[in-house]
Amino acid sequence: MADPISSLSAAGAMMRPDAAAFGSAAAGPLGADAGRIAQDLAPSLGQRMIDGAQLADPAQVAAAGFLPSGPAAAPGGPGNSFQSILDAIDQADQAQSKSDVLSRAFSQGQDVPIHQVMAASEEASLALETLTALRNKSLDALNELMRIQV
Amino acid sequence: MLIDPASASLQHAMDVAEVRHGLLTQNLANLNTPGYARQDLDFEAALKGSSSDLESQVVTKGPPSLVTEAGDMAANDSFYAANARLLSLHYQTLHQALK
Repeated sequence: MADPISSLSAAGAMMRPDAAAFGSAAAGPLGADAGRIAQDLAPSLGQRMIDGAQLADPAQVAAAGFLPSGPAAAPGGPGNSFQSILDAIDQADQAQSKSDVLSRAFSQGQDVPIHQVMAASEEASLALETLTALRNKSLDALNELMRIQV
Repeated sequence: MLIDPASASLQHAMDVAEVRHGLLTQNLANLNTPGYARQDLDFEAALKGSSSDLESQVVTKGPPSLVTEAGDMAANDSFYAANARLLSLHYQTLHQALK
């Protein structure tokens, strides 16, 4: 988890096998269409995150001082705030897994209340949206900084 | 609770309504069972408590009657629907804020 860019990519890659697994699970009772749609969506979801992560060259990002570099990061400073982003990625991933488990159980006809499935999938999608919004805003801020003439 | 207290309490209300619906249908099914006592949730207590111990809020009182069960079920249905609508609006707002 040391390199934030690679951990963003890893988060993107992690989404893919889960979503693909759900796609094949859904292919049974719900018909091939649902499974195919889920499998089509899965790579694009992961790819979108990876594409975004690759927009910024890690070396450039570090050179701009965006990344906390070792002991220079003061307590409560950029080091801690970046740790909270990593935690947020973790939480988003957990929300996604929870949603996957519930959706799978629901699609297999297990006794899961529909509102819990709905809420879990909404929370997972909100978490992912929040993360992408956060990433986009951070990159915007970085690009803005890069454009400053010194 | 990942998102916020509002969505957590809406979800809890829907959990309560779901459990109550199960009890009410059970009462309805046992309308003609001699000696059956109707089961219901202590609604206020259930809404204030946590989703995990809803079983402890079940109260047993009197025989079931068609009018009571049907009426309670209709009220419970609209309670569930209202909460579902509110939760969906709540999520819509959050999605909108992130666009």
